[in-house]
Amino acid sequence: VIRDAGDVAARVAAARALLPAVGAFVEVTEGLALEAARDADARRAAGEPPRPLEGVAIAVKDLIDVAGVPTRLGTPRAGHRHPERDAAVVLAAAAAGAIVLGKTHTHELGLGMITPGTRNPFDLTRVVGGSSGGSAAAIASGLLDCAFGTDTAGSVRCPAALCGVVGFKPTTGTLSSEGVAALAPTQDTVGTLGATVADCAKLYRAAAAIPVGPDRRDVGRIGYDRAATEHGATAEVAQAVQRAAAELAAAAGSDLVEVQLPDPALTGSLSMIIVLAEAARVWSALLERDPTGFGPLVRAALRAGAEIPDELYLAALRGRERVRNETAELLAEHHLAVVVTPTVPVTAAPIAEVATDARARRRLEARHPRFTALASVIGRPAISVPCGLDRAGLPIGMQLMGDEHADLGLLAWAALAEHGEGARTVAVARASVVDRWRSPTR
Amino acid sequence: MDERSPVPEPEQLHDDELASYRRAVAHAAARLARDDQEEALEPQDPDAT
Repeated sequence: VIRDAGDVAARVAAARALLPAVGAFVEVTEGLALEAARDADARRAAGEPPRPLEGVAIAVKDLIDVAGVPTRLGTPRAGHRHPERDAAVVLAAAAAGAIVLGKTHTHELGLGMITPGTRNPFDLTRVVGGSSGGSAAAIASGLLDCAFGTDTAGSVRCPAALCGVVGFKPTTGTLSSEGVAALAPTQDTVGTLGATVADCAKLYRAAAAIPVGPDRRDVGRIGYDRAATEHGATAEVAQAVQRAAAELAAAAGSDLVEVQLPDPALTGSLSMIIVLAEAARVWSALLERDPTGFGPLVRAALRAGAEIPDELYLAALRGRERVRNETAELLAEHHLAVVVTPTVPVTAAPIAEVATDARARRRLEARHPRFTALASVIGRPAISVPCGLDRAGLPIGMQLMGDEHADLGLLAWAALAEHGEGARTVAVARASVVDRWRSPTR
Repeated sequence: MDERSPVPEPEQLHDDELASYRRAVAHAAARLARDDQEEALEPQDPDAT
């Protein structure tokens, strides 16, 4: 934790050292961090008790406002703002003692799964995932233990999985969206990323103003969609997730039940139509006024969204209700507390491939949210926990989806999953990644 | 970056991407229509009100 100005200087130097190689930060907020450290020092001197996040350094995705720091949204120019107030979640975290160390890179508007310009600390030639890629990379490189992201179809969970860290999307609407740039308001959710489940949980609790306390696991069985996993993910990812799911069931003394979730192709279609249509509604007026303020790819997405007829959008909302009901019935019928899938069907792709080959990039963008879109479409909480490494030493994530508003219970399940053999393998690999980044001779 | 694969100009990128999104939306619309049809063919509960 940060205790004084010396600690701030050391963290700032480490954050700036990451900029050329990993590119996690848009801006390092040294002045704010110094001010917060001085304030914490004064509180200590006055004999005030420590707060839940006292001196914990955090990073904030650059779609979320931090007072006095521009919010750039990852766009060339469009929508940049200069907030005078913190977003509600940042305000809550700061009130709990957190110290904002910087703003992290986002894929433009949060509408993409790559986060160009940010590289994976496990392998700098690989993508970091998106859209909260900067937050995941900052944690994976060991600079800090907690960060805020946003998740509309998997944007917290996917980069967490590819970077070997934990990413939590709470039940939609649980965390305030005040001061957070919108993409698709019916799916947007602020989420937390952490080096561990406990790190994710403590930032979530602070942001949601939930007092510190034990997270109790909900009683129930574990659902596992074997067919969708084996069909939709690479063999290495499927095997790692299946092993971790079996271990979780054994550790919990629970049954692993094979289930069939709603078709990922359907949930992906619903998510795409809803996200593009809503994003166009949010951003079309600005797109008209300042088209080149957006990058060409996002401009195309917004134009495609504006062309979606109202009838198709409404059909997607009806489809969402059906999928929501179907999923609720499935969980009730099998007495499931959580459902396990891979987070991302693949491990981190080479940057060179997606930077030069448009078809490869589009394939990646379509494939990454295959398993994460469901929880986003129906608003359920979901978390990605590391569960293994592929042959190249790249992290694999397992997603646990829970019951609506059972966020703390889901965190407790994730904490148990974190003790699995695959998760421990990733933790060891991440420790050596962190050592590499801390080494002055790297 | 491979010099043999020049990155297209922004407007070309935009046009290619827009065409790709249009195809993806059409594909998604077809998938939704199939789901709607399947739903319509589901036997209804005669006791449902």
